[in-house]
Amino acid sequence: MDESPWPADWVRVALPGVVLAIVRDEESYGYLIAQCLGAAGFGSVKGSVLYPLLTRLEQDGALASTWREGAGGPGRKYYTITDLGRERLTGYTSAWAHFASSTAAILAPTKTKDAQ
Amino acid sequence: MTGTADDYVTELTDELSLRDVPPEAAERIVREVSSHLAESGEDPIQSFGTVKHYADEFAPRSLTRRMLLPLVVLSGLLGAGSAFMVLSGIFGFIDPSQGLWGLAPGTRLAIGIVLFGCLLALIAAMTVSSRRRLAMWKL
Repeated sequence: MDESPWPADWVRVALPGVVLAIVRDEESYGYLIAQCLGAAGFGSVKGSVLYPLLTRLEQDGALASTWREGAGGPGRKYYTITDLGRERLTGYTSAWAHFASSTAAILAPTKTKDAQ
Repeated sequence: MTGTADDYVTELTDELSLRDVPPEAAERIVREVSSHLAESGEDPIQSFGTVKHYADEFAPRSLTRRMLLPLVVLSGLLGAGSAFMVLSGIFGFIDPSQGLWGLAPGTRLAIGIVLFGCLLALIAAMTVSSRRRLAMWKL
């Protein structure tokens, strides 16, 4: 998988909210979440970053998990979002939109800002 | 899973155990690593980093873990020293001609007992610290 086009710091900051958003509508497991992140342009998110994050979100009560046995394999740990997780995601989405628009306004070329 | 992945999960299990991660929690962490590696076929070091680095994400090394070798050496010295001094004291009582550094048998016996007490205190401190870390865990 390709590397993310964005700085690692941006990805790290965005990751908790994005992971919550991935499991918002449908339960998912670690490897599939990593694949979704890759497909969304976050590059190859290492297991050393993703799984501790999933564990923290679970410990915080934002995610719940259940193990399902695999045929001959170690099985998969499926994550689902909790009510607390949904609440946190709503707040995160709103805050992120505000942050993004504020940043974009400052980053916009001077002429555009003058026009406003 | 490849031999490398097997080695990795075995090492990770041992490392988490050394860091007082409860067996149930350690099993979940290791199982998820196994699941990811089985599905992705990725190299464990490339994906999860070294075993110590990955274990740091869940359970930073305790003082006991960081000082493991010096603590083992200290325990050995305290154990051997206390046994030597106690036996020297006892033999000193049986045969007063058996001297050691000009110390009276009773003094040697007392030093041996004190050293043994230090060994017990060290083991107790390590056990209490380990239990506390275990109790703090939640997963």
